[in-house]
Amino acid sequence: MVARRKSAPGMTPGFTDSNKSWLTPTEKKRPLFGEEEEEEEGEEEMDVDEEQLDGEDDGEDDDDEEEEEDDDDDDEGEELEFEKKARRTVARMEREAIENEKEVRELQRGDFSLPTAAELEEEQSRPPDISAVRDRVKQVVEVLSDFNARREEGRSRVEYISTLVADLQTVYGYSHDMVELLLHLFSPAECLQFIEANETPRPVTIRTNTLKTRRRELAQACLPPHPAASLRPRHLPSRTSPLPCPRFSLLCSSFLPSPLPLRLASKALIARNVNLDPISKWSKEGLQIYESAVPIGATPEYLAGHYMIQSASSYLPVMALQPLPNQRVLDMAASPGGKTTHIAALMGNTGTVVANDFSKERIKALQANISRLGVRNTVVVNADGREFPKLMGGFDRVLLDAPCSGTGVISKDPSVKAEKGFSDIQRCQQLQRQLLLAAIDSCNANGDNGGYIVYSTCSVMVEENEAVVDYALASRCVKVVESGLPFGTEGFTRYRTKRFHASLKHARRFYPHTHNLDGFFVCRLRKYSNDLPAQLATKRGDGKETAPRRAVEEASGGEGEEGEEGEEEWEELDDDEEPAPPARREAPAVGKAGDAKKPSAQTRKAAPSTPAAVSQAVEGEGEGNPSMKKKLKAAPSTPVVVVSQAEGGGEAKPSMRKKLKAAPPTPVAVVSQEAEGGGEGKPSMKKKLKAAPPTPVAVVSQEAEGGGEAKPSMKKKLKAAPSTPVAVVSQEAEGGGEGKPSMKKKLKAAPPTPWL
Amino acid sequence: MVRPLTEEELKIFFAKLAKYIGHAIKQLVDRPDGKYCFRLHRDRVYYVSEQQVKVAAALPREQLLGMGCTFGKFTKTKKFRLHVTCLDYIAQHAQYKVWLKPAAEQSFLYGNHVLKAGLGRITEDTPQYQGVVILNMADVPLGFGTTAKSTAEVRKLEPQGVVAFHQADVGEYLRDEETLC
Repeated sequence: MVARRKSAPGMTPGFTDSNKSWLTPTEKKRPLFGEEEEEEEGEEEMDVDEEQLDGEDDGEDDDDEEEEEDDDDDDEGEELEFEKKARRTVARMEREAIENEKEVRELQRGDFSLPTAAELEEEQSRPPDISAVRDRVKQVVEVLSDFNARREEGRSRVEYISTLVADLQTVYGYSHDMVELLLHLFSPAECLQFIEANETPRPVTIRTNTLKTRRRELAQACLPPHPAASLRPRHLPSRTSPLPCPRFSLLCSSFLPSPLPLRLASKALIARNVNLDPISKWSKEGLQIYESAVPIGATPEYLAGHYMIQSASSYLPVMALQPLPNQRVLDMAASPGGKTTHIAALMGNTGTVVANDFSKERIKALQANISRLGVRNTVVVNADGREFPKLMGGFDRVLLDAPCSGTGVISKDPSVKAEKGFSDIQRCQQLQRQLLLAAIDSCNANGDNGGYIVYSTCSVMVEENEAVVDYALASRCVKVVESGLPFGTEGFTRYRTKRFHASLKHARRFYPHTHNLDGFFVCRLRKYSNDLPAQLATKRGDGKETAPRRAVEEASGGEGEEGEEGEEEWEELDDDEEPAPPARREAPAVGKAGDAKKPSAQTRKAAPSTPAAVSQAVEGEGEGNPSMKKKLKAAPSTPVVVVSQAEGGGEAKPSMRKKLKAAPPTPVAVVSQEAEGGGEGKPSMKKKLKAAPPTPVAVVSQEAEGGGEAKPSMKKKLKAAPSTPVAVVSQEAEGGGEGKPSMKKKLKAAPPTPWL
Repeated sequence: MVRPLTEEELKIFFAKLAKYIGHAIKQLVDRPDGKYCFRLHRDRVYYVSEQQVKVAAALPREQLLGMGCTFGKFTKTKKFRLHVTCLDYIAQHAQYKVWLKPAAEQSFLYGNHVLKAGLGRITEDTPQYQGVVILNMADVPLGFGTTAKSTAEVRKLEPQGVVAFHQADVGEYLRDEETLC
């Protein structure tokens, strides 16, 4: 109401009386701003007369009377009394909500001012007043969510953010690093939601062990044992219960026809006063525990292996893995066995699950769980996951639930928020990369329906998730595929200065504040070749000794891990331990017009230390100049650089097209010029390519004339580059097709990129 | 090395197992759904399918910690001790069973013997010192033991008398997680 009073005079400046001549107020209506405030509650009620009857008190207390009178007056009689009442209440509540919000906003706008440095210093000398700081956090977040409108004059965003960081540390006990990381990941408002969600525990959930029982039976009310139950051998399948209602807690007392043809293998949890519900639609095995009179981890059913206490988020990687009966599956970091046993259950105890874990201590829990849940198809190994490919390979499915910083499970382990920092994240990332490569190496791409790897962590950090997968995409023959999970937010394809492969959008992220699950990341990879990208490139090269191939060999000779990959058209060069972020021709980001800036940024970054595959689309519509053509012709079955361009533009000369087609299916590095519009390979192109830093690609396309003999200078450069993952240099994506001379400079000038 | 049991070991092992499941051992060895066998690794006897034996054979001995289903282990004195991990198989094939009243479940799961007061049902004609599987009234196997008295004698027993001696129970998954597998 206060707001209203204020706003009324406030409106006058914009109010003109020009329509006064024809617009006249009706007599019946109440004056606009007079009574309204008193009668606010009933303002929108249908019946004005009736409204006036009890207009004075207008309170909720005589709602009933109101109703009755309302009814009497109502001629139509179509609406029932409670409907009307409900409608009125809803309308009133909406109005009130809007008004409240307005008031709050105005109050905030008026009141909040960011403390100055002096004030903050003074504040630090005193013990912190948590509730005041908490309020300030909220207000700062409010301001930041609409910064232009709400900011205080003269205070920069940085000041707000730094206050927010400091306050979040004080209120929630996070380390500085953690807050920074989270603020990188989320908007301030979402970050606050995330942090607050971490303060409350996630619901306890259990997974029904389908090897021993079924969800309904586990949850079922306890019945006196059916006479036939004890006679029937345990392992014979029994008929499903015909109970229609999914809400077990309702079932327990009332509806149960007595001689149910149930196999009563499991006595009900409900009979033990456990209040539970199916988890949700996406899981057929999960049950959520609301409250329990007994410790859920010590019931006879638990000990008999009818269920596993497991957070709902950890069903997801296994669901994404989709193991099939009779497959060979590897769980690389298996303890304490929740996922391993889930896999075995999905496979119906057939095939083989190899459960590995690094820690002998944790393996004890793993083994106990495996035995308890009646899983018989596992082999338990205690090995370093990084070394696993040396022990064994040829798996159809590999699950890597990598060890991580645990930023997704802060609600379970609050020590994470105070103890973890940048260095921990980086250390985890290093390990995760190695593990993921090992996981991929253990997988067999050629099996029937095989070759899938699922990478998951209970961390929300991009560094531990997308960055790791992106690294693997560059150094192994894998691609990201749909995870098959029905929900979750998409993975990042761009994060701060980093650009990841576009297919990473198929990865799934889960957050405590949006999904009420632990923070989780799941990414499903498909391995399409057992070779390293470099080997693949060589194979496709038909064994012809050509300059680029030599270059490739030289480059990839040093390290086994990094290689050049021709067929999938992205490559990476790496001249130190730290791999540069690979960019790929395949990436739509590179080829598409809209994303023009991204690739170029990346390009520049990647350029100096990483030779580039120059990217462009390969539709063969490229318009090459004659010299270009020759070159393409000349290098027939070698890693060939195709100069072409993306959807939009350039009409290729027919001859050019032919050549592109004629080129045998070889590892092709593509020189992209631009995505849209332009893209005629002008003579200048040549220069640019030359200018491009030492890339095998550049060699091919440009200097590799006559069977790919590189010019001496070029060769040298190639030699200098030790290993070959090649980043894509996309020149530009939009409009301006011709690589400008400045490009050259940029490439040269770009500093080596430290890659977190 | 993962190896088959020697003649002598098999004798000791089967003698023990037969106390619970009698001639059903045959059904464990000749299964219609694939080849299964017993293997010895680090004094423990595992019941594994051929498929997993092959996988396990490829692994270094120190790093292989388990496979298939653990049946139990040989003690240093070359006696055999059945572990609760094989309960599923025993429960499936056992000839003699003892059912516990709900009130007595907890006590048994803490490692106590079965008393007459907690006895729900017992298979007819169970002899004395016979290996039995112990279930709750909903037929969930909770462990196994040996009868202290035959069925006929149990009828006359006072409430606090022991019906069956405790040998293994699923509570060990919590109590003895370390040594179980």
